[in-house]
Amino acid sequence: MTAVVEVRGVTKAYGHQRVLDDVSLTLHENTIHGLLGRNGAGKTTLMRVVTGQVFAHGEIRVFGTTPAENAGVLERVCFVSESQPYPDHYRVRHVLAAAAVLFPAWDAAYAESLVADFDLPPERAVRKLSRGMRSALGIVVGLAARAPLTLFDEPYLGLDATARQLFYDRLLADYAENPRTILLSTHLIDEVGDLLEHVSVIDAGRIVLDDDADELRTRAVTVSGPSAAVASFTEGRAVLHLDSMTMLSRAVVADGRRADDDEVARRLGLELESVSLQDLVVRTTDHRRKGALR
Amino acid sequence: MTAATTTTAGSVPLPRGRHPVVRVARLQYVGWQYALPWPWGILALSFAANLVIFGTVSAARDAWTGGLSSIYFVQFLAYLQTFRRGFPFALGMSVTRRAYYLGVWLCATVEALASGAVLLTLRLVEDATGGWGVSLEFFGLGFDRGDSLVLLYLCYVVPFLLGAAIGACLGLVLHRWSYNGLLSVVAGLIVLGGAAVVVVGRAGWWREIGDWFAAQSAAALFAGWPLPFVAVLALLGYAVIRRATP
Repeated sequence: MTAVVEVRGVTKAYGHQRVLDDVSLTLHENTIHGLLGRNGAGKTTLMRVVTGQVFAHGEIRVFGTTPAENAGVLERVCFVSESQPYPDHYRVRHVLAAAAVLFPAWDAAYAESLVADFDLPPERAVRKLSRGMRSALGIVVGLAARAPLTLFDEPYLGLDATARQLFYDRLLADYAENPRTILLSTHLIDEVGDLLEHVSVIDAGRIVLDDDADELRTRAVTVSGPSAAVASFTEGRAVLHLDSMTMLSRAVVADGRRADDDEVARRLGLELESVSLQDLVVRTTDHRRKGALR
Repeated sequence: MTAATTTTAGSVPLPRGRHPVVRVARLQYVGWQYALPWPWGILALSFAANLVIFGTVSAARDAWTGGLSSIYFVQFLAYLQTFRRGFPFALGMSVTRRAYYLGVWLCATVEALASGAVLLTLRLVEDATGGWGVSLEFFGLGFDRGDSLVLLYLCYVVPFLLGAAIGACLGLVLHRWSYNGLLSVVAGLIVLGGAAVVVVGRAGWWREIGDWFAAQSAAALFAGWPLPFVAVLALLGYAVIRRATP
């Protein structure tokens, strides 16, 4: 697979705080990547670094070369940011007109159909749009730009469930017709879980999980039952999380399912459950006592 | 536009865009219907007010109004706003800082040349009609010292560039450092200006300075001397935008 984005050892600090700390990440061509993490984990900063909007230390390559101040690279990139500013006098149709000027592969007819799908009023001033409408406008730009590398930074803020589903549907449909590399940062992990082909989890400026989504879905397993049996099952394995009551325990084991897991569990009288992507991310990022994952 | 295509890392061909600087220049005309009326509208209002005053108050005749400066001030505000709001928008839309800066300057230059031509035409009409029939000198420069038509044209053009340059610098300072930055610039100018006044006063140079200004032609004052300021400010603006972030 061709790498569209290669980030190696990238560090970005604001004052003494390291927002990105030795981050390495590869985005493969024509794949939907998820960038998951808590607020302030560094998702937006990483996306800004990749799109040349923010300068950082380390090696950043997009389409094989450096993106910062590189018009040849950036015209193939579209970054939809939830905090995208707009000129004061712009109406919705002005944003579309601007995008048509700036993105070489812009599909005006497709943009029109998306505007209709999301019920966006073309004559409304952008500063008078609701949060959800602003998000929808960003989504229209991101999809209709047809940029070979498209980044969505929490594109659904303020959107209701119906509009979010519309976004996922349109994204998948257009992705199938016009394959491209997509990086989607989100909190709504369960909602987009099936969409994602590759998942990177960032926490406190570091990449803590980075794998194919299918791999991650089978990576972790919850085992519950008598404490002694759970202890025996988990011995020598990477335990991500452990709840214990007096007699019963429940542990999340995060080093992948083993072939004999089912048999061992049955013999010990334990119950095995798979862990959702959301649970895995929450367990990985909700404290600092992990470290057993790699 | 050429039909050339570029292939990205083995993916589908992508139509090539126009030159990035040209794209930014075209971007400036998105929503022009909401921007263009302001400078000319305010100038027209100012002109109309002066016309009424000059038509009714006989004592006001044969005076220069200075109302023409309004269009240059609006120009300054427009470019301040362009860099404060338009630039972060464009940066978020995959435009490089360099392309944005050059594109806006391309635009500012074309606009200055076109607006200068309109103002010069109005000035010539004003001269031919005896000040619109009421001895109103609105589009004149206040004094004439026998400059040629070309130099006169530049007198109308260069102040537009100066307005754009000051607006660009202040807009970028505001964007990058917010009001602390703007106030620091103002404080710096006050200190510099104060120091200059002290030095000139101590040395007793006021008379020489007055003579120097009186000896300059209109072209030197409006078109010649502002040019180095435009150049320095344009370079300063580029230094500020180079490291600007959204």
